[in-house]
Formats: sequence, structure tokens, C-alpha cells
Amino acid sequence: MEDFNAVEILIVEDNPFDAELTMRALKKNNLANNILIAEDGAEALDFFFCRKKFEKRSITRPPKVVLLDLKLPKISGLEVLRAVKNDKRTSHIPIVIVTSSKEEPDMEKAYELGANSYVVKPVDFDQFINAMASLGLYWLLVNQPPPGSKE
Amino acid sequence: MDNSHDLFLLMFNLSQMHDKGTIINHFQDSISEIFHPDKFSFTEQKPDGNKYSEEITTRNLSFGYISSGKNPADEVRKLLQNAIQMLAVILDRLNFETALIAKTDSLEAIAQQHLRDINTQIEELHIARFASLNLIDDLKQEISGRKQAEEALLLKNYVFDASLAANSISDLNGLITEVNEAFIRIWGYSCKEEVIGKLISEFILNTGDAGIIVSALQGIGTWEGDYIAKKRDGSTFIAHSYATVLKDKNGSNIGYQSAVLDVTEKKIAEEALNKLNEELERKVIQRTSMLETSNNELEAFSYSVSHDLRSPLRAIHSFSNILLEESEKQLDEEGKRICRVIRDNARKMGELIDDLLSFSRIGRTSLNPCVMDMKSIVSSITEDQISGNILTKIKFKKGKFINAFGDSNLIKLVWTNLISNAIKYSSKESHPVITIGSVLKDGLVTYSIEDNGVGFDMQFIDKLFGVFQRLHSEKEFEGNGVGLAIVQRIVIKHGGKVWAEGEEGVGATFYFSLPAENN
Repeated sequence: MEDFNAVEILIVEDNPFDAELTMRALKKNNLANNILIAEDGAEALDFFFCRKKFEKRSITRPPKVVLLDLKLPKISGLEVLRAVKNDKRTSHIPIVIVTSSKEEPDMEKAYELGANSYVVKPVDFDQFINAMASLGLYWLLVNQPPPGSKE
Repeated sequence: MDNSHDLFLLMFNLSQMHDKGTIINHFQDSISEIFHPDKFSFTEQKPDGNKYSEEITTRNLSFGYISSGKNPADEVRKLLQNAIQMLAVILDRLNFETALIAKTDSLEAIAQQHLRDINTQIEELHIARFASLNLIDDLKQEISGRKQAEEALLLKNYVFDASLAANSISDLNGLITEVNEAFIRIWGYSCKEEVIGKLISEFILNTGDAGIIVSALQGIGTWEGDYIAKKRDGSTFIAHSYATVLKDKNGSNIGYQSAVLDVTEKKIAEEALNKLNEELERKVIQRTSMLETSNNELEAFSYSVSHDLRSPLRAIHSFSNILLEESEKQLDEEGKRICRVIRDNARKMGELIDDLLSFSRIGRTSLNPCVMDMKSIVSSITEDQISGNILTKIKFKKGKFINAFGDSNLIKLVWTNLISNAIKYSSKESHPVITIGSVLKDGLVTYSIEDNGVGFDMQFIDKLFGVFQRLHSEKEFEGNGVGLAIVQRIVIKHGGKVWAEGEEGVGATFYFSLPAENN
């Protein structure tokens, strides 16, 4: 992924298998064209705020949706969520928490911090594929992104 | 001679008279008549300047007479002298009589006065006697009253001495004037004399304490509290004292009194109790902290299970599926079967993890109790179940629904588990019937759900609610044996009970009780 401004879906996921499965699901539905995967919270924040290897990225060109896992190395998913939602330049970006945790405290905290949606990763393969596909379809095709995003 | 006869008569008459003036006049007149024509004038006293013819003095009387003619004859003179002497006697006698009468009168008066005085004195004596009789009565009463007072005082003294509290009375200077037996006993003295006359402060270890007590007594008039007392041999004990100031009728302070109990042992016990309480508090805090830590660890554990176990599970399930789909051509039947086995087991493990997490979460969450509309809760679940089980024609018979008190989310879970169990275990029946009802008794609502499914053998009733315990194999009916354990845990957390009855081949009925609406 060279052009960081063309990212449609940012997947923040440390588990390579889950990432692979998500990619498969999106690919199956032709939604995998402009996907970037960040492997930890720090990398995600660098992307959002155009730092380090994402220097050349323009902050006015956000992704259409972010699939954010909660349990991440370095900086946790909730920290990333807070940082992004607290900054006026990035707060409008739709963030979907995609996580294994069905724990209430996590859900409460995520919504409190401004998550747009909360999805629990199913263990079942079919269900997982369906869920990711629905997500992609919805956020890329059905949902109207905030103005200023890449069309 | 006639003259002497007349003279004798005259004198006799005169002796019968009582008035001096009349006598003398009559004498004078009569003498002149008798010795007529000689005339005589008599005077008792010597007239001034006149010359007497003769003066006769007899018995302190002096008579002088003046003869108007010549000097009387000697016989006449002798008669006159005799007459005058007789007159003098008469007059003398008259004086004597008069004096006697006067004397008698005066004596009489004096006697009367004396009589009156005596009567007065007698009266006074009577009065005095009366008064003294009254006085005697008063004295008798006074004596009787004093006797009673004395007896009361004796009783009070006895009480004072018999009291088990150490009582003492002291004057305003703090010198002890009276103590009872308990006092000398508690303070270790041998007799009252050793104590009386000593200062209160001698019996208190810290002089400061004595000062505090006295100023309180002088101020508000009472003092209650503890101080360290000093016995005769110098050893100490803890005294609990009730002291008050003593006042006389006019309200002026006249002394102090106190009652003291030895509370040394009680104090020691109190100290020990306090120490014990502190110890317990410390232990409780420690244990609570340990419990909190334990709880937190459990939370972390659950979270970890929730997240970390699911990811690899997902991978196992998904990739075996991918293999099945994408390498279909490379796999033979056995290979496909193996993939399916891997996939199915992964899914099962996922369900197990979910159920276990539910089970553990129930213990950790706190209840949000409210009045639950059981009818609507059950209805929504049965509707869900029906729509999810289109192949099975399940008949639901619903009886009376009595509302109860509890956490609606958790109770929903109870119903979901019980109802899905009922459906599952009667799925092999041609006409499955599930009957749900409730009964109110003694403040508890007992809910029942009865099915006509495979039932169970009552001898295994103990295993029914155990975690992972099943009475049927996976092949007969799927399930992991956590559902009923969850039901039991929830109901017990609500303070209710859960039990079941069943008969193999006939069916099973499950009961659970909850506190009624108004409890």
C-alpha cells in the first residue's frame, strides 16, 4: 500500500490470522481494494496523525471506516480510540470496534469514548465471514462517509 | 345629889354615842344644863389668849373650861373633874374604837387583797399546770418523732455501711468525715479510724485527678468518671466514681460524697475486647483486600479467557473451513471429514467458553433488582424459540404468571436456559407440550416448566445441576452441561431455590422460586 491517502479501510489488528480472515471476507465481496493493516496501537496513531512512516499522508484524507481491535500491543485499542475521537481533525472518522471481548466494561468504555459500532468477532468461520462482509458492505457502500473523505 | 345622878346619866348617854364632835357638844350643852345656872364652856384645846378657869389634862386630852360666873363650888369642881375624866375616857375609848375599826378595815382590805392575790396565783398555777400538761404532750410527740427519725437514721447508716460501693463523705476541705465498710475494704485499710480525717487526695494516685474532680464538684456539682486509686499499701486499682456535692437547706456547699466501684477487671476486659475488635477489623480489612484482589484476578482471568482463547479458536475453526472449501479437490472424503471434525470441535469449544464465561460472570455481577413482568419475559423467549425452531411444532401452555422481584437480565437467562432445555429434550416427541405456570405461597413465587420429553432418572438428581454434568450423551442431545448450573447459580443469588422432578420416558418438570413482588 503505497498511497496512504487512498486508504478506504484501516484494519488495526495484531493477530495475523484474524487479519487474514478479515481480508478474505472483504476480498470475497470485492471490498479489499484499499485496505491498510496496522499491527499495533502506536502504528495506528502514527497513521491517524501522519507521523513517522505516514508523514506524507494528508490528514484531510481519512479512511471511510476503521476496524479497531481492543487488545493491541504498545498502545491499546481504547487508547487509540480516545486519541482519535478527542482530536477535532480525526474525530469524525467512523470507528468500528472489532474484538473478541463480549465483556460489558469494554463495551461501555468503547461507546463512552465515541465508538461508532461494536462488533464481537464470532468464533464460527461462517459467521465471521458474514460479519466482516456485512461490515465492509455497510460502511463502504451503504453508509455516507463524513464530508472530506476520499470518494 | 341630883347633879351627880344627872351627870351619871349624861355620861352614860355619851358613852353610847359615837361621834366625837356630837359628844363634846352634847357634853358641853348638858353640863351647862345640869349645873344651871353656872355656865361652862369647854374647849378641847387651849384657845388663844383666853384664860382658863381650870385646865384638866387627862389621857392626852386637855380640857379647859371657862366658868361664866364665879368659880364653881368644890363639889361641882370635883364633879366636873370626874365628868371630864369620864369624858376623856369616853373619847379615848372612841378614839380607840375608831382606830380599831380603821385598823380592822385596813386589815380586812389587806386580807382581801391577799385573797385576790392568792386567787390570781392559783389561777396562774392552773394555767401553768395546763401549759405544762400540753408541753408534756408536745414533748411526748417530739420524743416519738425523734425516735422514728433515729430509727430511720440507724437504717440509713446500716444501708450506708452495707453498700457494696465504697461510699465516703468529706467536708469542703476534702477531709474525709465518714466512710463505709466497703471503702476501707476496697482501699485496703483495717478500720474507719485510719481513713477518717485524711484528705481525699491521699486515696488518688495522681494529684491532678483530685483537683479535676473537686473543681467539677464545685462547678456543676457532680462528677462521674474513672481515676487511678491508691491503696494503703501503695498498690493501685482503677476506680469508677460517682461524686456529688452536698448542700444544706440554704443551698450552700457543705461537703462532698462519692460512691466508688473497683472496675479494674472490667477495664482490663474492655481493653482486651477493644484490642480484639481492632484485631478483627484489621483482619477484615486484610481479608476484604485479599478478596478484592482475588476478584480482580478473576476479572482479568475472564477477560483473558474471553479474548485470548477465542482468537486461536477462531483461527482453528476458520482455517479448517477454508481448507475444506478451497482444497476440496485435493482432499479425499476422510480429509474432508477430519476438517469437519476440527471445525465442529472448535465451534463447540467456543460455545463452552461462552457458557463458562456466563457462569463465572453471574457470580461477579451485582443484582439490579426490580419488579419483573414474568408474563412478558416468558412470552418474548417462547416467541424467539418458536421462530428459531420452525421445524418443531411446540405447544406452549401458559398458566398464571405471578410477578416477582429480581434482576430481569439474569432471570431472562434462567428462562432461556430452562425453556430451550424443555424444547431440546422434547424435540424427539411427536407432540411436544411445554406447560409453564407459577404459584404464590408465603411470600415466594414458585415457577414451573413441565415438558413431556425424555425425562430423566431421579437417582441422578444430584448431578442435574452440576457444572459440565450431563445425564445424556452428546450424541443424544447436544449441550455442554452448563445451562442448569447457570440457572441454579442465578436463582440462588436471588435467594431462591431450584429443583426438578422427572421420569424417564415421561417428561420432566423444573421448579424455581423467587421472592414475590412486595418482598
